[in-house]
Amino acid sequence: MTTFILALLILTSQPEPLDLKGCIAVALRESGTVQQARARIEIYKARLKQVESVYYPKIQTLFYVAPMFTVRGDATTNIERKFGPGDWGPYTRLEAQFAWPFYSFGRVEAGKDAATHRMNVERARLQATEQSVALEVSRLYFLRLFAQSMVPAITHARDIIDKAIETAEHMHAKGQGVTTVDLAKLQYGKNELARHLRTAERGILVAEAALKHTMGLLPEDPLQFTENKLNPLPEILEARPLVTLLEEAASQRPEWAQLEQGKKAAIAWSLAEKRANFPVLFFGGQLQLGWAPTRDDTTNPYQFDPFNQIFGGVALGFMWGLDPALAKAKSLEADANAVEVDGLKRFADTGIPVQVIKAASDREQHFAAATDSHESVRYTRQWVTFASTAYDSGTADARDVLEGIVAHVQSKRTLYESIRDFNIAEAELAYAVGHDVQENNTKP
Amino acid sequence: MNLLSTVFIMSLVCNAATASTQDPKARTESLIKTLAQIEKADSATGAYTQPAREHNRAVFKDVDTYFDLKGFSASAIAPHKAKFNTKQLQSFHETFMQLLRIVAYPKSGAFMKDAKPTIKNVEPQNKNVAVMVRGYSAADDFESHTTFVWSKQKMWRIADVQFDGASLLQDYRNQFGRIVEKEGADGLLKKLQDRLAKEKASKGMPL
Repeated sequence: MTTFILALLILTSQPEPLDLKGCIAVALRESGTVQQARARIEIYKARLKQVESVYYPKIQTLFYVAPMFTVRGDATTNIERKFGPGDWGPYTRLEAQFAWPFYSFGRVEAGKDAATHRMNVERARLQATEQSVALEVSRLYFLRLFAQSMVPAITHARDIIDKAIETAEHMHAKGQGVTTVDLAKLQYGKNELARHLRTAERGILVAEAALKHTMGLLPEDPLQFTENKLNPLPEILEARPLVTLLEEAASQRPEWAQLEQGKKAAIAWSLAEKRANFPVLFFGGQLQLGWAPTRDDTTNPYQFDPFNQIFGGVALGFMWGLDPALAKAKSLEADANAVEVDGLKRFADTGIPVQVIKAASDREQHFAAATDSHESVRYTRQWVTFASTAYDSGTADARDVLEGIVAHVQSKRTLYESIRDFNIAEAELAYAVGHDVQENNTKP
Repeated sequence: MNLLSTVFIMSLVCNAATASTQDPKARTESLIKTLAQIEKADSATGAYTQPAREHNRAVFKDVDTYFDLKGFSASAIAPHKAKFNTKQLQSFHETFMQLLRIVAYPKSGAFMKDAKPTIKNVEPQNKNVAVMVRGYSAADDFESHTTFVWSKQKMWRIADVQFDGASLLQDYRNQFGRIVEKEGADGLLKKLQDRLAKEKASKGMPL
């Protein structure tokens, strides 16, 4: 029973194997970069609330209790002070001020606009961050699959060469026609394959570690995959017209929203700074209470007595902090920011279409390369097959088979490289046109 | 002979009985199943164990019914026949057919077991019918596109095998032609006989 429960626990603690979509979904949830971008939205949400708080009522209070000696008399009579041990009592004081700003001549409104647009910039930036994280995950995912795809072919070739070396060494020792050069060629082939295998195995480890980092997982976190080999490409490439792709990029890329909102934020910020010299109107109120039983209460209204008093009132007023030079300087900074956004927009206007064109062209080019490589694999496969059948009937050397195997491994490597690059180019194209990664990867 | 072997041989007899009524596609499916029954040589010694040898003897006989071995052998040497005397020609056929059986059958059997082949296409090819089979061995990441070219005789038999569209028969003709050209009929015979002897020595043949 205990063993069963233990086995069940082990089974249930195993993570679900992930495909590319699953890896991206985890990355969007766990990635530190995405979390940072989310936090920046919260920062600007808080800043908006700070600006909005200007129109909220404000209350300031001060209350204290202090020891007070005895004082008798007032300003018009003789004063008697006593400091004896029994002459002390409490002095209690409360001061409260209340202010409720209600009008700022557009200054607060402009600040709110600036903060709202800035928050929207961060929202669009989060989308852009998610897209670049998804792209990075895709890159690493296909790098890992590429390295993993190479392992069986190399291992198989190495096993064949190992056997061939064993036979050749035996024949060499017995003087059966295998020369030292033949042996050296085989050893060289074996070493080359060992090098390729090491590179592939290291590639798997490095890509997996980088993938975990991008997905926001710790190195010791378990990660399993549903795919362990690059899938063959479809026979026909589905290519959408470039115009459609450019239109998609023009409407979907989050950078456009960033720029639009950034420009609006800069304009509103500049306006808010220009209005920084305007006053703020408010309703106000004040209350002062003082109580000190060891002091005589002065009833004369012309005499100020903070120790025994009740005083309060309401008012309509304005606050005005005038600093025109600083306001001008800050406004200029905001204007410069708007100009910077214009520059970025011009850069995006030319850069984003180039990204789309490059990714679409890369995708087509790698597809064509994969088709060619597929043909090469077919020919090297023929080479290996026919060399093997000839070897089996005794009419060809083992060398023909071995050379065929090496060529086959090389052609497979080229094929897998093309498939990997095609898949990465597809991910780059999705990024370039601004596909919604949340929609595409986190929903079933 | 144990009960399992008896049942197995009975099933082969039944297969032979239905073979004459099967079309090339059904024959291909049946061939794949039969080849997959071939026992591998012992991995430690490289030779067949006695039970495996007995088992394979029956399976090989069954596989023979799918291949037109005599026709294949005759066709492979046909362009160079003039360079052989009767005795050499007879020796060639005996050696070549034995080689095909003891080398090609087990190799095909191992691949059929590993590669889980599926029939992808059936189409006429001149007077014959070509059945294309795709197999994929995940262990060594090797994909094969093998076409069995069936010829109508008393029953459908394989006249040629194509790999990725290239004819094995044609390749043998060219290989043999090159060797006969350089080393004569005896040279070719020696190569085939040496290979056969080596295979018999390593695997404990004949079956």
